[in-house]
Amino acid sequence: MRATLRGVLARLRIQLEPSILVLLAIPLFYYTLFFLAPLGSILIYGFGFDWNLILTPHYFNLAPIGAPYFVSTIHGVHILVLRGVDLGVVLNSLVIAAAVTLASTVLGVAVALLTGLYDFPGRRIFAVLAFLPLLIAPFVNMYVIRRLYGYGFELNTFSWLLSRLGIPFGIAFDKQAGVIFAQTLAFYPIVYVNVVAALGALDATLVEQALNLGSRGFKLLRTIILPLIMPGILAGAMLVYILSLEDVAAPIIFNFKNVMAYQIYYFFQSVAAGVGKPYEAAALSIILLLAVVAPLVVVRKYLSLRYYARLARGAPRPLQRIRLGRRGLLAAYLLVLPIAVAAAAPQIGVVVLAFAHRWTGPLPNGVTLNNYVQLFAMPGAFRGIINSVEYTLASLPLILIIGFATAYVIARLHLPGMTALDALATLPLAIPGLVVAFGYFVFLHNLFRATLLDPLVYPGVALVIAYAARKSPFTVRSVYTGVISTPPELEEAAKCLGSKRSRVIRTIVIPLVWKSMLAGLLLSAIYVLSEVSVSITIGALGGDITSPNHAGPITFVILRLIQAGGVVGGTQPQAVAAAMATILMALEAIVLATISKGLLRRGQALVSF
Amino acid sequence: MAPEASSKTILIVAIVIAAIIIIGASIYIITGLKKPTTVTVPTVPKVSVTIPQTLTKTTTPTASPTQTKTATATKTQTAAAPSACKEKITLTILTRHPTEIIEAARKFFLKSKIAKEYCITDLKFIQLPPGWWPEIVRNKHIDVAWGGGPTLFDILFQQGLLRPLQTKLALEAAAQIPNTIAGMPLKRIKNGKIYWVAAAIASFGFTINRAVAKSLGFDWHKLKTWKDLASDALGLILVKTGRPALAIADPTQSTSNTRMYEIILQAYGWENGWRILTLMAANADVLSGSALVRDGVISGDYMVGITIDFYGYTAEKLNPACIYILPSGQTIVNGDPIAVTVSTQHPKAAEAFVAWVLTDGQQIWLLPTINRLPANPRVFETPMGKKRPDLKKAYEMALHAKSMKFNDTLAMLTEYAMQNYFKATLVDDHNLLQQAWVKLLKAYYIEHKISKEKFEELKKKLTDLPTFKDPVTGKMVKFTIKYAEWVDKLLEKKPSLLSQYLSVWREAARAKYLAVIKELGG
Repeated sequence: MRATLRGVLARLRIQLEPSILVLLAIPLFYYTLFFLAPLGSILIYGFGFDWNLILTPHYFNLAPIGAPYFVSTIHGVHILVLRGVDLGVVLNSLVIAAAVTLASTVLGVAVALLTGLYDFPGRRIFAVLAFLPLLIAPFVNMYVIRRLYGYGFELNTFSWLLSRLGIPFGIAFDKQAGVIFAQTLAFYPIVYVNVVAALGALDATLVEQALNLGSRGFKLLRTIILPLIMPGILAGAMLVYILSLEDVAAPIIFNFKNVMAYQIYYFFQSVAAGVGKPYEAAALSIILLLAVVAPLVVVRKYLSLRYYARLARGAPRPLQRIRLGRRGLLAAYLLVLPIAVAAAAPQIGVVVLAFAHRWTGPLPNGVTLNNYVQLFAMPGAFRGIINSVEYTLASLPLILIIGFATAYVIARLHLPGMTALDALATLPLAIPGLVVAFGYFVFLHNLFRATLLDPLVYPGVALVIAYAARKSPFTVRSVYTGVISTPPELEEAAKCLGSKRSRVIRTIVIPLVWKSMLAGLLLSAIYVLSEVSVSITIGALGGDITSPNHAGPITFVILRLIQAGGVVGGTQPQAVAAAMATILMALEAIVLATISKGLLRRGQALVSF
Repeated sequence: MAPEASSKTILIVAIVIAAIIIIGASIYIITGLKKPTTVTVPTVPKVSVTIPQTLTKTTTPTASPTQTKTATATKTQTAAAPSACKEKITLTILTRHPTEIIEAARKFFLKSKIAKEYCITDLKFIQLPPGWWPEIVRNKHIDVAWGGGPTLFDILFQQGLLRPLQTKLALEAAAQIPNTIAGMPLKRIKNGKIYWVAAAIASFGFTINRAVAKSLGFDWHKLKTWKDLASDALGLILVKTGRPALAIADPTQSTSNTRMYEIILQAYGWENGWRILTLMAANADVLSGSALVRDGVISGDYMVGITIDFYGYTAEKLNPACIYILPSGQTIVNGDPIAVTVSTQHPKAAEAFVAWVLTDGQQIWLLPTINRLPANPRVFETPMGKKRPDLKKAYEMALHAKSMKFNDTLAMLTEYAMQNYFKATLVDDHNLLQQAWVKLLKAYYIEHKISKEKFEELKKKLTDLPTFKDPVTGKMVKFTIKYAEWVDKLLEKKPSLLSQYLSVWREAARAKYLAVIKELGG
């Protein structure tokens, strides 16, 4: 007993050198001041809300409003319109998130198993299709989804195609059902990549033994493979659930506003913004937070650094793909392929729209480069690109410092409470962006009013701080994996020879993990570029894209072009937004390709998406 | 593994997109460098050259003696203006104007003589929802506030955030704008000081997409007044297609739509006005901004949308199937103000910009992408003004339109309460309202389940102002005009009460809608 205590004390003394204390202090300071404090300040406003109101039907409505579906006839084509019901702000969000998570999980797992486990002609087509929606084109993809599958006075593209093939039936998604459908298409690849990565870390011997013992088909899946990849499924499902809860794009495009995320976003847009105190938005932020925390506790392990590092190491002996039987092939091509094509169509549609003269009916018409010309001619749009680059460059040093300090400390410091730091370092991934944005606003605006840190005065500064906090986990994860895969003996040897910790870090650790650092930084960069929630709320405080000096990044420009783009030069604003989105997609694709080419294991690069 | 294939493909896709972007950029640079103006304003390529001189020329002969003085004053200033500026000024302008206007203003103003005289080298526009305006004027240096309607400017005025015009240049420019038009003030004057001046005028109406009307078999000529937007006929489109033909905007997110609702509430009286607003909302999709309404009608997603006049004219230009309707005798002409704010750092330069907007800058309203009615009628005498007889006609129409008597003060006294009551009862409860309305229309027109009398009775019930318990006084009340005034003041003093009021209003409306549904047996 005494010996162990003395051991612990001795270990502490060895471990707690000044340099590591500094490293420990960095994440603690940053996360406390710029992550926990903003979240905490929401609570203060939450107290101002009359919580009795939350039980009114506006928030929880147990008597569903509206017909979930109906049949309509447009130009002689019978359309089954799926619409969904209104269950109040809170319940709608939860129902949508649950439905999207379920649908995405089923779809994502199916495609991942098909491409990761089996070998069959055309497998790569599936892999590419499932991958496409990961190139995030915020808002524009939702607009395209509405054109492809939405409900209007004109046929949607899908029903129009069917009618051309002589089938007088079609399908359309509207309101709540539209939100669920659109989010599923956009988010299922997240489950897909997580499951693919989990399959990559699957020990082949286990599967081979099962095969040798005669297990085949569904039994093999159900009893061996699914239990083994369950962490990947849960991690992916959890991310989808969070993304669905915080998404404002689909509710805006499908005009279904009784969801929490939209109501929080509304605070930043309403006439009353300055007049009414943000009590309701604060209350909804708290509920959103609770809705995330409960399931998060369950799957916490699978979002942690340790799990991520295990995935990154991969399997000792990877799996040989199994040949797919005829029935399986039939199912793949008749069932899974159409869905994967349908889900990838919006991304292709975004590119088409970017080169279209106009797309308001079932089909786009006219091929033009005018959208790009307009984009480059519009100083505000160009400003968005510059802002994005500036913010990214400004936040990267912050991310690098926080990322390295956090990862190194968690990997090398064996102290009680390190699991808490691990959780803290991954928490930013799990907190809905709008909650973060709202927290930053009330925290910084009230505490640092009319100073450099006031988002109303300098939105750019607040954005950089927020980006660094929200997107550092990608760097932390990557550096952590790098650090634990270098033997600690090297550092110990250097220390025995008299090097101080700071020198060890400079001469031993950094040269060994720089690749991981770079990869992590690139991943963080791509997420900073495609960040939506903080960008469209705090980013809006510097003015609209009409101003050539506004403070909004690319995603903000896309949203404003979609919402009120004006009609410059006779182009369709959504098409100009699509042009902007293709630039973002190209940037994402380039960075991703770079990372998976040379810097990270592919599965690892992907799982971060 | 799968990702191998995808990363390769993605690299190819990325390269292709990047190549296209580079080509696009180079095309822009090549074409853009030659003719900078053709890109955004294709139809009036040489506007920028003509703007600085023309209006001054035409105005000088007609100018009053004082104006001649200013002309000389300006001249002396020009002469005195140092050729090299000591300080380059960037004006920060808070605005509600859309992209087209801001880009045109920036482009033409920076080329103007005034800009050079006052060393203004850039304009920085901040476009924020109206709710942020007072907050941002207090916390940040804002030089000019421009556009957003008179009510927004009166709020700033009342809070002491506007700075009266002081320079001769600006006062002379303001003198060219009539004090009132069709009975509505175009300036806010207190103790002889001018706080805001209208830079443009606007009327309100609705835009119809005739192609959609045709495909729906709806005779669009039937839509003449606001009341027609609340009609059963429009509702029957919703019943048949499951999709509303009308688009309106949430008043808490649109100042122009707020003004239209205020017009309706005064044109038909408070109580009847709310009946019409209720049925309009029932017939409509409530969108989150007036530009979305306009775009929805242009693209054919809706048959009709309520819009400010220039959105209507723009829609007509972009899609010839669109037509803007001015509801006869039920519209007003509004001035759209410009003002200098108290937090300005460059008061002289700010006033110079205001002066430009009120004189030479008036021509930007005539651009084919903008189509707004100028506040300074002299712009129609310029060569460019002569090219827009259509706008001149629209201007005359607005001037002499059978516009209604509109009580500006009354609208302002109830505005915040009205916006929120609308939001609570017609936006938040929209799905339920629409369900009740569709059920009612079906029961009478399609299923013939109820008599005409019953139909009218239930319609009245659906649109009645419901009784609710006031969360502060505890009394049972209705949202009468007097009550609205009272609650408006209360909410201004105690904003934290808003969520409670929203909630009781929502619940009162919900109970009313549910009662109608119940009577119809659902």
